[in-house]
Amino acid sequence: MNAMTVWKTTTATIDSGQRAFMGGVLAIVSIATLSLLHYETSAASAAVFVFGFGLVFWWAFVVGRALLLQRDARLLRVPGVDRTVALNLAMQFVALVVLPATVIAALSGLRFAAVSGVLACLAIGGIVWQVLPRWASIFIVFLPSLMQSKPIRDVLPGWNDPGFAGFVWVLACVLVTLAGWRWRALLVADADGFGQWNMPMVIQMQRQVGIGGGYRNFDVNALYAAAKRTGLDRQVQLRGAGPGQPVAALRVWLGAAFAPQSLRARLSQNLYVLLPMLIVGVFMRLSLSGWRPALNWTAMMMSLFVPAMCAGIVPARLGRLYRNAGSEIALLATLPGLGGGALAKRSLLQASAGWMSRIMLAFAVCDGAVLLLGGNRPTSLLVVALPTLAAIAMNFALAYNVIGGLRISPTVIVALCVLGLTAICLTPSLAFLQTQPGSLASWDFAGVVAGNWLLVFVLLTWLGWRGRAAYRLRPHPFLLNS
Amino acid sequence: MNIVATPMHSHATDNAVLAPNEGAPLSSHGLMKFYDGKCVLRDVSLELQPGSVLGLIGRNGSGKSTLIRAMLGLIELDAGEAQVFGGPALAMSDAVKEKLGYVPQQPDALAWMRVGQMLDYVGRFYPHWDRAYVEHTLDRWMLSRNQVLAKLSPGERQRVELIRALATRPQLLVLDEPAAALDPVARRDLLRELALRAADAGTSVLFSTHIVSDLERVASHIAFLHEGRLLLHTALDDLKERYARLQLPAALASQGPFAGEIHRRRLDHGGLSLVIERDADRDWPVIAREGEAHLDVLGLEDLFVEIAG
Repeated sequence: MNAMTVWKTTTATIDSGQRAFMGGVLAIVSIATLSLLHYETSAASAAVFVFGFGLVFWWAFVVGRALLLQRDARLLRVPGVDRTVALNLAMQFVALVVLPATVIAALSGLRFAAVSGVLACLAIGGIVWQVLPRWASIFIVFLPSLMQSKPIRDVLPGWNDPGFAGFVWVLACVLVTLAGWRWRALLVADADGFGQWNMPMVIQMQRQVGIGGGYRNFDVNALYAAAKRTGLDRQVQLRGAGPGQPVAALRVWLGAAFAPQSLRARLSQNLYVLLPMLIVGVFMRLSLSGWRPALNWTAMMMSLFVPAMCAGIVPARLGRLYRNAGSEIALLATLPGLGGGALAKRSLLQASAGWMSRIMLAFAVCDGAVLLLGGNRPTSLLVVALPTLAAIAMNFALAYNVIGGLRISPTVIVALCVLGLTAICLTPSLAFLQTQPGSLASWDFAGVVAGNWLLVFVLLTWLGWRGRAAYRLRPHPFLLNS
Repeated sequence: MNIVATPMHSHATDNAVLAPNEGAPLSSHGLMKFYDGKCVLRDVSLELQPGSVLGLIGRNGSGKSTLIRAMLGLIELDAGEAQVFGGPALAMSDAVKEKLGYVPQQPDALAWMRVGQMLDYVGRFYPHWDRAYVEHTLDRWMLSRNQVLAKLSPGERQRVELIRALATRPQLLVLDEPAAALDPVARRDLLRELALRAADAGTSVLFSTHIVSDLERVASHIAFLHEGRLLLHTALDDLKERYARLQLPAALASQGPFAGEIHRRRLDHGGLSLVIERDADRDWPVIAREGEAHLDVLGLEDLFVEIAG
């Protein structure tokens, strides 16, 4: 077995679009890291974390999939996969932790032991994020914010402390032990045995149909498991959905988050996100000494997470349905009571992208109100408004392309995701910037962010325009794309 | 060579009687479909007459499912026209949709619902929904109303979908590989149900399969699709003793094509294996009377294997 085969062990488990996206993320953080080291030597430690940011995602969403491969290999009794996966992990560690640490240490003057220790923690942290039960892994998302809180910063050693390298390597060992323990347990765990709270992300990823589910496109057990977890069969509200009420009827056919449910049912489904958020919020309240900063922090985090999570939900769901010849779409095409072509087309958009837009707008109004009540300047609303508008536009634009029967190049998707994520991450800095008159640096930065958003919206407008044109030409909205 | 199917059942009941302006339940003309540059349907013309049971046969990947989807307006065509009850398949009215029952090959719609919940919900859309039939058949096939659809076995899932399609009291039933996931008992049950629907209610049925015995048991007509091309469309009874395999020695292999020849395959020793058809007077072509020619009359399964193999 040659080295390339071993290297491809994990990358082959994702599709070309996902590979391009993850590769793009790694390339961007690498360029950003090198730029920082070149132009701003005082920000060397920040550069390590910029690279580490990409590293976490790579290890979580690419390397972590090796576990799925190993699980399936065991089920299929394929020999030699355990060894190949072990070699792949070692190769990934050398290529993405040891080598970058060497370069960063050489360029920044930081100690190699410290840099490699931090990168190792972040890489293995990505795996831990994937293999921990959901209730625990959700805290990892908030970890960077928690690390910034005063009580924790007071305890942890700094980069220049003599014990820093030792500390990060001990931490890395703890993480390796934790990841290894969970990895071994998940290798033989029954995927159907997990409930709503203890389902690890990596198993969820395997079962996911559509969104990021390139590893397995369709799995009946996954649908059952999803139904069992959400209890949608018990919570769906079918009253008012039927012939003559095409929007409500279509929301039932679309299922998942689109199905009509009570507010209580929706809250209970999303409790696994809301509860950790609340716990972290309370922690921030304690560390920031005051409710207002804690609320501000929570509102800020939500303004980043909610649009990022909701963007793409609609095209992902529609994409799965329109690809599968046995799905709801085939039956909808022959179902009476949904009205003629034009009405059905409008209803489908209202039931899918329209419904998701209403959720996002409702959230944005609440989040914006919290930010204003928290004493922030009106420009802080940009943090909520721009990502929400972009997420709504993305859902509509990509949905038009899916139901218009058009294929979108992976390059365009990657460009859109990278530009969108960059814009979302940069906007808070812009919105809360204390711009001084004549401060050129601030206005330069504002220009970069505005240019980024402009590119995002231009790209979305073009996608939406061509998708809408194709959709209008379709004789009816339920034409399969396969 | 394509023979348009004619009605087999003379005792169709009222719901199969078409209004004067209605055409055949299904008809298609010159269908062409390409996927990624590959032609999967080549100039296919096919018609299903009222009350007939048309079995669409072909190997895996021959284009059966694509043809069914094209005829029902589930996919856009590169050329040709498909009609359902005389109207364009891509613009079916609610009145037409109410008369149509369709089961895709691997149904997984509304898989998160319970059996009873899904049937109740879908039933809302059909004015002639047969609730009593649903209850009776669920009991007869021992299917629980409270089971989540995704947790059913493929065979059970297929049966629930058949109940869904049949409960609409369709005048046109289109089933894509309906028996593929069923055990022999359930398959026999399904075929009996189809035959009864066609005979008693005059339901027109189009079903695809690669199980030849299913065709022989229930179909009044067959259509044979091979590599996207419709090679044969005829009444089942007309097939009997109509086709033969003719083996010719190497000396005659360079000749042809011969009258009545519909398929040829070169043999290893240089000879030729032909599938030939009787002429209008039910005589074999002249070449079959050559001294060194060897003729075997083909049954349906042998004919299928000979052409598709």
